[in-house]
Amino acid sequence: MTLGLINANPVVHAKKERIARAEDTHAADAVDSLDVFDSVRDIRDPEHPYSLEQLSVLSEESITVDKKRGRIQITFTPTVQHCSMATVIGLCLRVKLLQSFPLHFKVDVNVSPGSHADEESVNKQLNDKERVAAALENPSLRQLVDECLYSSSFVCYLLDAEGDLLPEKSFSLLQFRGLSFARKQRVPAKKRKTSRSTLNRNKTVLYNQHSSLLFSGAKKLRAALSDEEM
Amino acid sequence: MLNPEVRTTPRRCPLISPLPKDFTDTRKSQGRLLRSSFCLNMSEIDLVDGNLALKEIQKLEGHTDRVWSLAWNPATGAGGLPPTLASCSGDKTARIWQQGSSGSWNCTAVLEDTHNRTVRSCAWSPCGKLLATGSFDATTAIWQQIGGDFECVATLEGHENEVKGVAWNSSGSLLATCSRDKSVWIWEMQPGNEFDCVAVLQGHTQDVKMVQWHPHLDVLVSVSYDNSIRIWIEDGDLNDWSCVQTLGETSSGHSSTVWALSFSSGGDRMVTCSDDLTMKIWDTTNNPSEDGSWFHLCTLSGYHDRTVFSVNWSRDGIIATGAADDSICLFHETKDSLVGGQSYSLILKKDKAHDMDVNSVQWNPKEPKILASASDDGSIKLWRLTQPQNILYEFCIEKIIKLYNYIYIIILFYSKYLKALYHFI
Repeated sequence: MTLGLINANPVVHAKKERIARAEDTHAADAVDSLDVFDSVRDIRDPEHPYSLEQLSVLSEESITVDKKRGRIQITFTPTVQHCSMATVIGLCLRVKLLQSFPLHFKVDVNVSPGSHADEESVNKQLNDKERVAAALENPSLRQLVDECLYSSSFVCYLLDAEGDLLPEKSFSLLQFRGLSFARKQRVPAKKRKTSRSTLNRNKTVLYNQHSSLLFSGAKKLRAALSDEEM
Repeated sequence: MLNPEVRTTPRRCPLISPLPKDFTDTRKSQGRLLRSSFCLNMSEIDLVDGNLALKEIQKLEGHTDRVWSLAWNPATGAGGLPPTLASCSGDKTARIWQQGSSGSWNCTAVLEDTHNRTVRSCAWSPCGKLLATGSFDATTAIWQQIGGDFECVATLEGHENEVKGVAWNSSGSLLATCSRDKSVWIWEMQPGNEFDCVAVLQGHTQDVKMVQWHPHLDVLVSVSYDNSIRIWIEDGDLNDWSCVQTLGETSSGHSSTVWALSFSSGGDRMVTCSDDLTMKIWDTTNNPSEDGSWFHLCTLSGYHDRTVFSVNWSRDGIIATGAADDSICLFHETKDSLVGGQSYSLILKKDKAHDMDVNSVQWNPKEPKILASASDDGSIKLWRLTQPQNILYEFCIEKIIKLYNYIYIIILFYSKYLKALYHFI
């Protein structure tokens, strides 16, 4: 590499264990900071093969959710003060949240106070939706963002029409984009008994661990997944 | 100046609009006409204690991405031409919407395959024949209606990156465009749809969000991400454009990105809106070409709790604002008799006007109680400003007419019997 990394030796922290939610304690449409954290923790840092969680760029505590008013506020801490990738990380967070949560949610993305040399200008840029929209139409920037979002292992969980869980399947980015997601479909919890005969028909892609495109069914499915693992 | 009490209970404020005399006269005659058909005219609306309502007329759907901007065709809505609205969107198209004979609105044209990125803004020339669209692809396209179709008759290239705003001057001879490249370009229209760049205005230190011309004078105003408002005029001797005034934070200006501006119809007031969640009113009575400067009059704050993206001043003097909090607010001038000064009070707030951010609000120039709004949710909504008790009044009148019709039919039906009875007697 000719340019050299901005932060060559980042401190890598251990991943926290994912907390499996037992059953729905609140309505499917409610969002809390753990949901938000779960959806963004695996975003890869633009420079390193580590996730934002591993680099402590994000934590659950840095996310606040106002359910009533539909507001999500994320504060992230770039690894170094002069991180030129701060805006890219911010863009990744925005794209991810856009894909994961209902569109009417208002998202604010900021760097944590004092963590960046150009704090004010980074914040202004990340919260100007026109600048964000224009940036995401820039092919090279978009590619970088997509790489950060999707480069980690790409596993889809498939459910059939009866709500049975199919074996995990890996997809390439292109294949993944070709899949159609049943956005509105919910999984009735009682219909979760696996019967192998139904596995191969009426496959419905419902939930992807890394992009959780399906929002309303996500929690129920997470419960289903943890059941399966146990 | 704007205390919270004013916000909750707007005071009675007489309608004062700085319109030319003949203008008011036509409105009065229109008023008579409308009154006879049980409609109401704006001049009859007393802006008292929450007596107004913004009633949704129609939701226009068709865009597949956020709708950024709207423009009413100034030449339509009179003289037999149906009212026409243009919209542009993140789906890389612009759409033309027209009111059909039944009164409902339909999309009559989709302007596509010219811009390959978001179409950020659109503007009709004063004659209503040309539509300019500015896009993130750094070009501005000029569209003309030829037969039933819109054709792109010119593409203006020159900006380094995203074009964010386009505006025609009052005579339609000049077109201004602004961009993220921090510059404002002025184009002169030549015969045969040729456009010559006559000036490149440098001065802003960040991207320029919007440009707008004064309604009567060739004075250009630009607002920017650098928080400032700049006023540009042409130097008569040198044929050179220059910035004559910068309204920044030091001149009571905005403390964050200025997103939009609008002039009152008389051109003596200007309103700007910003990411700092406020709207500011500026006195623009002095002519900058004659060394007159513009100054801050008042600030409207506490009404929106997210970025205010759009502001528009109606012909009747009502200011509409659209913001990222999904709401639309309407303001009107109040004469403060105690101080002798002027202030503006909220006359209506429409919460949840859209499901997502409101990006643009535009009053119909011909029918000043019709408002159009565009949103991130991909829809455009048309609203009518009415007084609720008048809705009830109209409803009653309608019922009475219906009842009268029934009675008439019954009388007709029985009339032959009546006739027979008459002969019998």
